[in-house]
Order: sequence, then C-alpha cells, then structure tokens
Amino acid sequence: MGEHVRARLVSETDSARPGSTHRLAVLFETDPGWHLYAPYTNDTGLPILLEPRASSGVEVGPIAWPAPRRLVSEGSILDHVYEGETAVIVPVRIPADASPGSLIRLECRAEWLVCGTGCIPGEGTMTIGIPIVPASRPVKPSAHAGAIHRTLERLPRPWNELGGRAVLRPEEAGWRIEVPGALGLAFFPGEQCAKLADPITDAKSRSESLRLEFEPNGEGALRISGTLEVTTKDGVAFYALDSATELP
Amino acid sequence: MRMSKIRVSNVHRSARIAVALASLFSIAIPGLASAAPKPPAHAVVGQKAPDFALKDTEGKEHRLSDYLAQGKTVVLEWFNPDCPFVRRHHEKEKTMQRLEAAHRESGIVWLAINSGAPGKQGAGLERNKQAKSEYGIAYPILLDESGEVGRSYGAKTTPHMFVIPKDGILVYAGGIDDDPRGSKPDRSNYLALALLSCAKGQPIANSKTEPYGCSVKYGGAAAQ
Repeated sequence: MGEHVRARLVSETDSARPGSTHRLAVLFETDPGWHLYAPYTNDTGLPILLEPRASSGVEVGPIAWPAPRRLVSEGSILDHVYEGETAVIVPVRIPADASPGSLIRLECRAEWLVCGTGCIPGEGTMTIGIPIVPASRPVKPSAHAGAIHRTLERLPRPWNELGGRAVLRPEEAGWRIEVPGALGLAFFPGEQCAKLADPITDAKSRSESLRLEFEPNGEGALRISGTLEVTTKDGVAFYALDSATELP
Repeated sequence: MRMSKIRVSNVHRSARIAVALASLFSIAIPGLASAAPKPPAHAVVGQKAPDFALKDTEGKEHRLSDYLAQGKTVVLEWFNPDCPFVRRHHEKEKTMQRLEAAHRESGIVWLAINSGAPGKQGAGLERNKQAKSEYGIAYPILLDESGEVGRSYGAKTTPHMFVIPKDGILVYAGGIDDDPRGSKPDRSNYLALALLSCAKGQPIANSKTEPYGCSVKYGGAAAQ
C-alpha cells in the first residue's frame, strides 16, 4: 500500500435481476493532497483509462464520469481532477435469460496517474461477480451504495434540464453562457472542446454569466463542449454542454 | 440482513516509480498569499525567446544569447528526473539522448532545465547530478529553482520542448511527440520533425503542439 490511491470495482446492490440495468462503479480513493485526472482538457497528467469487459451477451456502458474539480497550480497550470472518493459509473445490462443462481462476471482494467508532491502511474485489473436472483426477489443496497449515490449527484445532466433558462450564445471569438439567477458558474472544457485562450481566468465566475474566449485561429465560432457547474441558492448542479448539439 | 455476496478483488497496483519524499514545505506569508500574481506574459512562437543564464549541475553557467551568437540552434527540455513521463523517455526509450546525439554534429545545443522548487519531487542539485549519470545524459541539466525561466517560457509539463534557432525567434513549443501514454505503434516525434524543418530552412508544420507530462513543480502556494 502507500501509492496514494486505492481502486475497487464495486456494485450498487448485492445482486441483480434478469433483464435489469445494474450499476457497477470503479471506486477510487486518493490520499489527501493527491489527485487523479478526469477526461477533460488538462494541462498536465493523464486521464483515468477504464476498459470494462463482460462475458458474452452482457452489454456494458456507457461509462458515466462525475464532474471533476478545477485545480490551478503554480505556473498557470489548469487541470480537472478527482480528489478523495470518486465513483465512476459502469452500467451493465443483465440479459433477460440470465439464470437465477448464476454469477455474471465483469472485469475492468484501469490505468491512472496519481499526483501530489510527485506523480506515480498505476494500473490494475479488477473483477466482480454479480449474483443473479429471481425477478421476484428484492435486491439490497451494498456497502458501496452510498458512495455511488454521492457520485450520481455529480453526474452532468442533459443541458435541456436547465429548462430554457440558460443562454448559450456565440460572440466575437468566443461564447457567452448565462444562467439567470445563478450565484456562480464554472465551465470544465471537455476533450473535444476548442482551445480556450485563458480558462484559468475565463472559465469561472461568481455571477450568472460567463464569457469563454478561444485562442485566436481565424476560423470563426468554434465548438464548445464540456460540463457547466451551476451554483444556485439551492446548491450545485452539473450540466453537459455541447454547442455542436445545442445549436444548429 | 445477509452480507453482500458480491466478490470483489482489490486491484493490484503496480507502482513502477518510487515516491519522492513528501515536501516539508508549508509556506504561509501573510500579505503575499492573497496577492495572486497575474499570469506572466510568456514566450510565444514567432516571437523573440526570453534570454536567460542558469548554472548546470557542474556549476557552469549557460547563457542562451551566447549560444545564439555562436550560430547555434538551442533546444530546451523541461526536466524532472522523477516524473514518470521523463523516466519513460530517458530510461526506457532514450528518446532525448538519441535525438541529442543525432543532432550534436549539426550545431544544436540541447539544454535540460529543471524548474522544480527546493523540496519538490526531482528538484535539487544532488538528485539532478545523480540523474545525469543514471540516465546517461550527455548534455547539461540547468537548475532554475526560482522557476523564473520556466515561467518566462510558460513551461507547464515535464517534458516540455522549445526550439530557438540562431536568430533568437522561438520556432517550436510543445510536446516531444503525440503519444502521452507511450502506447502508439506509430508516433510522430514533433521535435525531430521541427529540427528537420529547421535544418532544411523550411517552416515548421506543427510549431505549437500540446505538451504532456507531470506539472512543472514550481514553488509558491497554489491558488484554486
């Protein structure tokens, strides 16, 4: 031990019924002061890589990544990271003809880089067996249900759940995002997002408005995609944002 | 309630890299901590590269403008001997050593620069002296413990590569190649391509690429 991160493949419930969608998660726990990298635009590090594999006939995915946190380091370095407890959700569809009493096995290979005072790469393959119970039997929450539920609150919701309140508007060399009534906004650029000119300054505001400027490239309005963190008096919520799908 | 029947095997972690000692630094200077400095203007491709003078692990001073005056093309490599990305390129793949050796005859001066602050992973004279012989690095490793030169170039990762021909204009800034995970069968070595274009007097096709690696371990308290 002592590599500053622990990783386990865990299940939301103790068993699964035939024909259901079952929630598994790769549960990471980092030591204080250490972090893992999220699959977003980062200046440094390497995003976690997960490769789940199930027995034939069992569908896995898509993997759901919780919203990361911004980490600004000395030297104008911006990364999007996971710290402490993080569950990455891996949904599994249990075949309708799975026989009660059997076990469905799932394997997940993981590769990561954990950084704190230094950086240490890690990798491993985790396995889990999901006991299948008859459709009539109730399933019980596992010991990890709490960790999985805490992560569900950090999963980006569809943009349209902002209910038309939000405005996404192209402007000269950038985009304007407005969520009326918000106390703060932060944008986490995804891996497909065009390069922002100064995300350390631009991508976070303590108001209902955010202006994102792109690095000049002379190509006009560029694609913006990632996750928007919206802070209101009711708390924090996350929304998936992609100009390629939200705007014609 | 029955216990969960789900069988979970803990992941086997392979720590290929030794952990550096935790930093004992805990800087709290009242009055300074709150004044977050504006990101400094830094080197830009197509513009004059900032001059610097730094000492190497043998105590010898190297000045960029001296090399340029001698007609040399200078390659800068941001370095931290204990960063896994640097280890891969220096220990396993010998990427930098090979490239440097291949270009030595053609008047290229290669300088590694470590901008790690004292106490950080891979920083300090002793560790870098040792790394020079451990990795068989023929070129100098310059120490920039204040991070001033690193910041003036906007160096973010180890490695982070820069190329400056004799006219002093920065012509390349970015990664060593296009393979952060070191898993591609076919890599583009951006730096080798940049040096090739330089040698032919042609413009560099990819003059700005995304560097990858560990963060440069600058000193100072990080802001959120």
